Amino acid sequence: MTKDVFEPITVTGWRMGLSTFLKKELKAWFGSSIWLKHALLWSGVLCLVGLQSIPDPSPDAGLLPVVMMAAIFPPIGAIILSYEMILDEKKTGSAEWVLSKPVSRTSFILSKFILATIGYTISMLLIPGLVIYLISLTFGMAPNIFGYLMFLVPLILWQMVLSFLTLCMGTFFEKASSTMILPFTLLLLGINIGEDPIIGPFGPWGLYKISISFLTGENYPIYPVIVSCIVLILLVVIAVWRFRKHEF
Amino acid sequence: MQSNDEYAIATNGLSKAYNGFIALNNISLKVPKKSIFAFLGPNGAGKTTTIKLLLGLTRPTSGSAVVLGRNILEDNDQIRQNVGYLAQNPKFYSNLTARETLRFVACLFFKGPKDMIEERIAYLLKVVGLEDKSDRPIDGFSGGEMQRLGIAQAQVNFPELLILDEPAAGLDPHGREQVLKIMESLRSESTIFYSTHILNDVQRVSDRVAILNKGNLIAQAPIEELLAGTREVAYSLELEGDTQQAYTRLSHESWVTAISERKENGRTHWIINVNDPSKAKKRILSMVLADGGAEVLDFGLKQYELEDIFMSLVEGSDNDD
Repeated sequence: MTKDVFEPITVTGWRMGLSTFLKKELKAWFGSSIWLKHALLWSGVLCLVGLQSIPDPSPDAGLLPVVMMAAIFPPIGAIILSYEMILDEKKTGSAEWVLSKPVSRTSFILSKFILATIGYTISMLLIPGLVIYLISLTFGMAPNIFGYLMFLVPLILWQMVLSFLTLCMGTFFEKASSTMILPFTLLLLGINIGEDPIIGPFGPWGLYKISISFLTGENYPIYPVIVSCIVLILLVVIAVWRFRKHEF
Repeated sequence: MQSNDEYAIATNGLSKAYNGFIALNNISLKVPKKSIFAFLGPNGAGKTTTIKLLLGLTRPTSGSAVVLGRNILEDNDQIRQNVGYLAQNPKFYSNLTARETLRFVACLFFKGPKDMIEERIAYLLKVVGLEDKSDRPIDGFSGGEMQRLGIAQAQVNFPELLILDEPAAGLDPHGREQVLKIMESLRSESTIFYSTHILNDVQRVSDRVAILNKGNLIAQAPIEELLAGTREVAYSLELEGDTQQAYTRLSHESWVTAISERKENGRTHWIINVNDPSKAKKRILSMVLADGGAEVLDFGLKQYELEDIFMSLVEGSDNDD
């Protein structure tokens, strides 16, 4: 057998290796039980709150406590999962190995961001979100399905900001603590900053307030969504730039 | 003189510094195509740094290098298309099996045909003796198995150049033997550039050798040339009895340049370096036996091993610092 019988990969530039990396990442997530474990874990956590608060007719109950939980707990899981994604590959040497093949560093990094977007969102927010909706239906308190989906979008963006920030930090640092300190600080302070009437609407920290506004019918500016989208793009660009400079 | 086309690797003044520490200093390495080239040096000499520079995993501070006719800075993607690499402590994705690992690597080079890719994977698993473990997760693999999988994944793309970083390090004698056999079997297919500090292996499989010490290239030659060397001829003697007078007599001879002495179990061992081998051959024995005080148990021309050359060059280079 000679090399001539094979069809070589013809992709060049930043896309080199992207499809193979993506398949590998998505298979590692959806091809194992990890996606299901996370779906069950976060559904369970949100159910614990939802089962008590959804049937409660008081103004501070209903889906409000569920939003608060969804804005804090699944993102904690996302940060912990994200910090390992790049850091572990740098530490163990698997990144060095795979980058000795004809692949681009950009595609290596992008595959991590794409997994954090698709895998984490499905397991940690969409499936638990569906479970909460079904509980609401059971209690006859289900919101409009379109409104409910819109209510999930800011929460998804919030989790993406935190996991993207963690991934980005993973390209700069070699220690778990350095990688996670900024995302955790943003997570813990973000909820409080979001309450601030002046700076609240102008950053990703205002995202959960948008979710709440879908429930309460209040008007809340859309700026956090726009700023978050810009922040997500910037984090990807910075991570790619930093990782391309990384020396093994 | 060979042209650059005849070299798989040609570096020119390649240097690398990390925060002021010079890891690699002005290296000009020439690795001829289709050779098995051993890259020797003590730990921390700069071997792995050189390999990482060649693969674009790190960038040189100064100097340049050409691998398979392509510049390491401008054409690294194309270089990696034609190179196979085994890292010092290979780490693959632990959730994959050996077959899946090879499939993952194959998909980075080839998009099809699928049956041929599977055939190639099966062939490589057979070559490295991992057929029976091919569908087990690599989590439980021993060091030797991991190393053999590393060699297999480095060959998936039919590389023109195989770069192996310490391929036999940490292996038991059986594992080492297997790795050396695999390397020998690949001689006709690829140029093999490998770093090591196991000198016995080098003498057995390599055509050429380069020796690196503290970031400096201190020797580079075909292995026979290095063994024949520029060193003086030396004779070795094993003696019993009183050797003092014989030592004094010999040390006064103009053709004797140095005598190194070692005593062990009541016996004396001399290495006598000479600058006139014909005189030495005729006179050493008669001079030693002249007063009857010493008895000669063994006498012969000293055969230098690569280890002697290596130690002498490395120590010489250390003393120059």
